Amino acid sequence: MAATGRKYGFSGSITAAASKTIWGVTATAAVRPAIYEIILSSNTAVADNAAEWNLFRFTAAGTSTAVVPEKADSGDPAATSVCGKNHSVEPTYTVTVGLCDLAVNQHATVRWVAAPDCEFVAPATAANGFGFQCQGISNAGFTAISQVSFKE
Amino acid sequence: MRHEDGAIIIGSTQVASTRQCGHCAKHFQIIPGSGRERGFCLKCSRITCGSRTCLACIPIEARLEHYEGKKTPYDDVIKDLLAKGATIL
Repeated sequence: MAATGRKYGFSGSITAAASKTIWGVTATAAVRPAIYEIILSSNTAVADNAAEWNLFRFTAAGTSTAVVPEKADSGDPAATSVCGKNHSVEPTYTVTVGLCDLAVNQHATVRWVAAPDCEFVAPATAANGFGFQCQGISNAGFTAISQVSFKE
Repeated sequence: MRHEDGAIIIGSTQVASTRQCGHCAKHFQIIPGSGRERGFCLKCSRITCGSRTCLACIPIEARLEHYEGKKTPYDDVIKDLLAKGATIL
């Protein structure tokens, strides 16, 4: 799996709705990004809503707002992986395997963290990567905020 | 649980552990009594998620390398699976 690498992170925010991607991390031919942490929360006024989210691999990144991920170590160079949030065109997912399925109430902040060497790793192939997509909501949509940390 | 590959934390409480499939890299919870059948690969000695595309031993590293166009010792098995319409990554 991914060797110890440089660590980066960024966040995205959307109104939770079915088939909406909150963020994406795209590999290049030069790097294999490895996702090791996902945090999902909401800053909407307290209400009883729920949503299901899943991490998928994609083979085309779709269209999103570009993000420059923050370095965990300020001495590192900028990330090579291409990052985006709040997709206006959904990535092309290989939906046979959802890699991390999280269903959570709006009240809760959920964090998933991988043990060392158990990250999700993307191939070093341009336009391939991971997207975190809302699968569906109960009741009303709410503002969801998700932080992702990856290394490369 | 003897070993965990990941953790799900709500608030400040760890509510679940996840295991990672050695073949597709998916993380999943093991829930006793859920009826979900998981597996263990005797070839690579890793737990598997139980999906049909993970029955044959193709470790995730080989899947990534194959996807990147590199040769792997698992190319014949991968070719077989792809011919049957499976998605290996």
